[in-house]
Amino acid sequence: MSILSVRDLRVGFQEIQAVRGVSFDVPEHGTVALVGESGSGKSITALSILGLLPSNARVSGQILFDGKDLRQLSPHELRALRGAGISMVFQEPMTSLNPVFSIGFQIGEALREHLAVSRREARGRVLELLGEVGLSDPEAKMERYPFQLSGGEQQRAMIAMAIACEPRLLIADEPTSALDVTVQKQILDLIAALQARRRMAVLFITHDLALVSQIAERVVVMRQGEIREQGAVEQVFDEPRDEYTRMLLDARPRIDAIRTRQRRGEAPVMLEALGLAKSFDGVAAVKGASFRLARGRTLGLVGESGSGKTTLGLMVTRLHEPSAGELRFHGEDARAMPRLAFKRRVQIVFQNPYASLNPRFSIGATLTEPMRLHSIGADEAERRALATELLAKVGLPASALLRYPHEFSGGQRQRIAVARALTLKPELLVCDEAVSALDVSIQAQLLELLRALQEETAMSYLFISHDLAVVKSMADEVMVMKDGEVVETASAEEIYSAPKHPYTRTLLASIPR
Amino acid sequence: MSLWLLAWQRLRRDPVGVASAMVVLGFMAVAGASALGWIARDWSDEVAVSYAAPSFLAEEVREEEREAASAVPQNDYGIADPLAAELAEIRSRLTDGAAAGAKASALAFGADKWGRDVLKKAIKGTETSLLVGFAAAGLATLLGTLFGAFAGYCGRWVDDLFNWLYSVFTSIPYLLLVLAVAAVLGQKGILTVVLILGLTGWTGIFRLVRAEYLKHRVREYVLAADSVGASDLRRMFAHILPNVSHVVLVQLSLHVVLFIKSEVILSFLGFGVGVDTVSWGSMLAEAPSELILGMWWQIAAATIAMALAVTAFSLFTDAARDALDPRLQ
Repeated sequence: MSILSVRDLRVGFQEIQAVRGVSFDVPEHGTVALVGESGSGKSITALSILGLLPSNARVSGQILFDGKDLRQLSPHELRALRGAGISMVFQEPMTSLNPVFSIGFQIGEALREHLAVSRREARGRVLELLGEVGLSDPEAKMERYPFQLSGGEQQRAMIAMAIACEPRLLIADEPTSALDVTVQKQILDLIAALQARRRMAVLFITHDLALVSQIAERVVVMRQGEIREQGAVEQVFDEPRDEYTRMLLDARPRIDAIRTRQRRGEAPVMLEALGLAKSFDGVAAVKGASFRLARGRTLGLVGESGSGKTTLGLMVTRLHEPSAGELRFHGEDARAMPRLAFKRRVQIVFQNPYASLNPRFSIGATLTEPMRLHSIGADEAERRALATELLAKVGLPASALLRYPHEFSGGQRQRIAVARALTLKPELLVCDEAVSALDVSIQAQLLELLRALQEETAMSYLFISHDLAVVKSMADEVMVMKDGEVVETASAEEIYSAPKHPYTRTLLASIPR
Repeated sequence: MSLWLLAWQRLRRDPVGVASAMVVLGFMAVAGASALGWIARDWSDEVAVSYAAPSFLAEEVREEEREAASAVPQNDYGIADPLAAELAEIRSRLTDGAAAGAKASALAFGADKWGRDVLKKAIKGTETSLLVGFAAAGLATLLGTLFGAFAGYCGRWVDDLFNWLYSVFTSIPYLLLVLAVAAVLGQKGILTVVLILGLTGWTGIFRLVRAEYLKHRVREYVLAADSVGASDLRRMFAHILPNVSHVVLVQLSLHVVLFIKSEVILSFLGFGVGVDTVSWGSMLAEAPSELILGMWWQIAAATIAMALAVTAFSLFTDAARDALDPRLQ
């Protein structure tokens, strides 16, 4: 018996067909995972179930909840159903909670809206709920405003609000994508526990295949608005029938399957940091980090949000001046080197490919600017030729030169950002979460590109990431940071096989497998 | 395709935007032609009688005059005038001679107190008002953008300095400030009006541009420019400025409208352009005494021209803002 049946759902916006004939079922008390990369239409499908699509959407097909077609309901009936029948948890807890009301008030509002309880009763229920979602000291927490809570606590509050009216179906749209890996595990465990206790059905939407095997019984794989494959999780994971599903499963960085890069032999030390520290208005972001990086090697830098890893990366590129400590580049004091000479040798690739390219510059202008600033190439024609060569190296056609960033996908933009860094032929490339914003299939391609470039040019990488699996596939040595401090530095083999610090162990244990 | 091209395509699909742009262009063409001396060069010539009526009213007015004339009794005392024939001849010769230099009693849009063509005055006034509007808005935008860029980008004491300047300028009542600058600058003229408006009007633009620079200076593309070695000035004006230019352009456009209106107010108060030139404001300043006499055509011409220009410009600004909005991209 299924509680939700979607039949031939189609959603279009203007000329774009976002969802093209999707059908699947969610069994009562069951968990179904809807998996796909960006642009697959998975979130649009979820929003159309609750009737939350923008008004310019064209929707057809049937959405049966408990045998009733939700698309035939009046707005009033639909609103009564939201919360009490079906409720939803979104990706960004910070933007889904109203910043000017305390979380206790917001959860209480959901109760009063749907269950017609008094203020006093609502307060009691809110306390119970906050306890149930595992918030410590619910009495104090319910008076807090969203910004006073951590990301994990906010998501717990969101979940409390979603289950407040005892819905029969919970739709979770990427509920853990914005969270650190240790917090992600806690939230997943919480959702699983709540489901078992309350006997809800869960529709779990994610881009992360690793989570699917952990939480769901059935999986639906979507791509470009169509369902490519669906079935029981074991069956789909063990014997995928669809080519795309197989590709997705192969592309996912599985930490146990990844071999660390075995590179023997000594390489000369290129970069040495001694007690680098940085504080902003008295708050220490990095509290004295020391490390060495050899020529042609990769140092992985791992940590959760707020650990200070990005600040450290910016200090290494001299985009931030350290408050204390020493940075040596080939034995020379890097801070005493002329600014331009240093920048020519150390480059950086940022996380967000949508923010790191100037939207008003054509790709040609973006790539030739560094050359012009460093007097590389005799004239504009030569620089253009060099830029074309670099584009070819990162796998983009020469026609890209005349186009603008908004005409490219995220993966392509990140390739352009890599090409920009390569224009100066740097000796050290800092990759600050360079692949984190990309879909797994694109991620795998970009990592491959970075590895190939390193073989070719003997560049060193400082590879910063929150993703332990990605770091494992890139790094020779790994440094783990927590709250601004380096807690462990060791060779990649040692970190992944015999972690010494308890925090490193927690991190490794939290990875979905 | 560049973002400018995309913005242009969006603007082209907006009928109100296109229509208002046409009107604005029309006004600019008139002002340009007048500045080049192609039209309305002889606006100060006395071509008609004082307060000549618009020609569509002329019949009515002549009718009234005729009635008035016929009301005057004939001086017929029953005595034959011996010189009547000679006098009649002299009179007819006089009127024949004067006919060539005679002033029209009616013009298409009427005349002012000195018999100048109101249409030509309105055209000349368009030139003055648009010139003042664009030049003053250009000056104010330039100052506001420069100050805002340095304050927002550099922060620290630079920001404090400009914020202090901003506070001083905004804490003095606007009209008082304008009158004080006008008094200091002394002589009247278009340049003075432009300086008054430009030097006092940069504050709003400064605040917005500063906020944009605060937001953009920590963006990754600016960090990326820093990491490839772009200097501070290059980051400020080659990288950030094109990304905040939509704000600057919309402000420029808004201030053109604002300053056209301000010029009218200044001229009306007597702090505007001198008597040797004409603007919509000086036309309005002449209007009160005329209205008492029922001569409404000068105020109508100035008001219609100004209302049309300001409305079209405001609508165009709105359309441009929508087209340039980066959120729609």
